[in-house]
Amino acid sequence: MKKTVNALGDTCPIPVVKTKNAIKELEGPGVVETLVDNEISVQNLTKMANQKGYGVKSEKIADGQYQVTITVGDAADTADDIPDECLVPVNRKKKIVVAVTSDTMGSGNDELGAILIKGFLFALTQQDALPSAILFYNGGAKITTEGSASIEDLKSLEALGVEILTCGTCLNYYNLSDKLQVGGVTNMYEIAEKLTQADLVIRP
Amino acid sequence: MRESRDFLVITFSQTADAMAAEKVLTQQHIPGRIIPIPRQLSAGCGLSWKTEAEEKEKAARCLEAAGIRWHEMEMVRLWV
Repeated sequence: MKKTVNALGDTCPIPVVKTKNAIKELEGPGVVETLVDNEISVQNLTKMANQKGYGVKSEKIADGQYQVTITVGDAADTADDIPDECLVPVNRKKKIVVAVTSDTMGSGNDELGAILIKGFLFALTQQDALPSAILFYNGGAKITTEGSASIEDLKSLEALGVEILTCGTCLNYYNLSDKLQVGGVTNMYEIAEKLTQADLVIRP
Repeated sequence: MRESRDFLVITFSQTADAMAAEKVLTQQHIPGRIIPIPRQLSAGCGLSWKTEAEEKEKAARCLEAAGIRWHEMEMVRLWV
């Protein structure tokens, strides 16, 4: 027996629910073909099938159209106990952390480097996907303190939910402890934690 | 909330001109700042000066007086 499920335009958990119902309706071995329009749904259906021991294959049949084929064998469990959950979270945002380690960007010429880092921080404010945190350490501490041309940009990033953190040891070393203009002061444990828990660390 | 609006963006052919313009315009207290050329204007790498529309004449006069050549002056919508 073969069933086709149209889950185009549906987001998790709907494709899983519809597919599960179709599997139930098979009342035994058979094939369910589910059409979905996003990669996340493909992953969810694949994980669900793997969990249940069904055969599964998926292919992209057009732009924004995927077909997931699930083969239910004799020995397979019933679909009853499949949880209607999103195994792969929808729109999970990648955790991006930017580490600013100097008051210049790149090496070669420091006057140019200062302009580049200023430009980079401005360009961050123009991105659709913002980092979760920006860490400033060593010479980077000069960028969050008095006299920096990036304060305004960092304040608008902070207002959009980006954590701005400057290394306290570094502020102290450069005598900038009372000159911080934006964000909070942090320590090496938090810096290490942010860096290790990030999906992506960007060092401009 | 994120808000975008139009800004005047002055572009330059040479990085050195943009850096010189930053010095002159800052000395003349023209509000504004150096930003990388917005994508809408150029796919290339370069610097530009971002300011308010009403600063156009004044900025042009200052740059002319200092002998700094600019490439274009355009209005561009940017995140505030």
